[in-house]
Amino acid sequence: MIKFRIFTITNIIVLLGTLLTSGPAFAQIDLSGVWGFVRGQYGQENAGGSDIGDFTGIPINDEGRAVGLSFSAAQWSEPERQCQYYSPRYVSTGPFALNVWSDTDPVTGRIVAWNMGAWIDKDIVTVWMDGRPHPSVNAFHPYSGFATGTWEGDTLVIRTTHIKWSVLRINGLQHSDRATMTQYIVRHGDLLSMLTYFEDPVYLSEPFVLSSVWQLNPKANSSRTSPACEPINESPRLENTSIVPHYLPGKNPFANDYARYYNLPLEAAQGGAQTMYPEFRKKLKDVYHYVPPEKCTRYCCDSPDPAVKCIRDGSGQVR
Amino acid sequence: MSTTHVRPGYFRKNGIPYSANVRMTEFWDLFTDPSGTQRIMITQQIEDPEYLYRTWITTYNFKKEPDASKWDPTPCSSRW
Repeated sequence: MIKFRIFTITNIIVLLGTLLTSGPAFAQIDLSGVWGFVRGQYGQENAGGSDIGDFTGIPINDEGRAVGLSFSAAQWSEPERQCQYYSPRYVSTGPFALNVWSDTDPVTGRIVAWNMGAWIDKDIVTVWMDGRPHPSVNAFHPYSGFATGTWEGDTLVIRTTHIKWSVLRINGLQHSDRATMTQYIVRHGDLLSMLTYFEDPVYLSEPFVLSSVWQLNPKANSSRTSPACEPINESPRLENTSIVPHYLPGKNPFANDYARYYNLPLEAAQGGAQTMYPEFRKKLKDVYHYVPPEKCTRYCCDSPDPAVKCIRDGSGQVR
Repeated sequence: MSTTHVRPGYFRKNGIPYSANVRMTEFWDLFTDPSGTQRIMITQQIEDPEYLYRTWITTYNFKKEPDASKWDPTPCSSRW
């Protein structure tokens, strides 16, 4: 009887020990599947696109602002840019479904990597889960960057380095190849939420933090690899193909359009870390009073008021 | 977090309404970012049979302040 009790107690200790030491395997949440893009958040970002000169709420420094204001959308007419990938940061605001799958070690069954599928303009991102170190800072920067992941409770924490210089916002803001990114991914049933913490010592004065969400949708249009890209002009063909379209400092004729359309203070429109925080309103309180535009001059279509003419842009022309 | 039995109100200051039948489910996730600052990400699912065609899903994030010195709520206003 005593031997039986000792045997049972020993078994329980062994079982508890096994459960406790195998914690990380149980802690992993299955993230695999096709996650549909939930349209609404960042709608302006990936529908009409952000306005030229709208840098509100983005912690750019003076260099970041200068680069943004030098941007000419005619750059997209250059054939060499028409198939250019965005960086992995694009996942937080891009308009596509997210295809997630794992690579498994065939012997141990452990997950070696999580993959976030490509889009037509974004590379596959492989998130290594096997504890490998990040390469030398001088190593090659691929479009995917180099990403490693660890589980902190039920949160997958991804650290990405070796990011290529790329677009921070489609209206001309850029990030440098010294940027790094930390992402926190949490699954809540059929929702996948991601907090992106993006740092760039060259063009940002503070981290740029965004949250995004996807919903499980096996029918979402998604592929794991990027389809072959064929350069196509989506904007007017360049008249002078010997230059890179740009504006010299102080020469961008559209720099103040966004502030003017919405009667906003230029200081707010031009962004910077201070514009991220609610207390910025207090700074403007005594010097700025919002006055609605006298008449709609932009995005005026679909109004039930027949007196409002359909004007789709800032040209003032009925279209 | 599940919220029901609210009074009708506005999703946005520009007039988009919600009804008394709105149902909101929230998931709050707490992280410590690389600088050591705590951040909350809130994921919301909102259903309103009167004013929404389908579930509205969105996220927000907040940064924790070291103290309450910036806590200064102002009276609400429905004017621009």
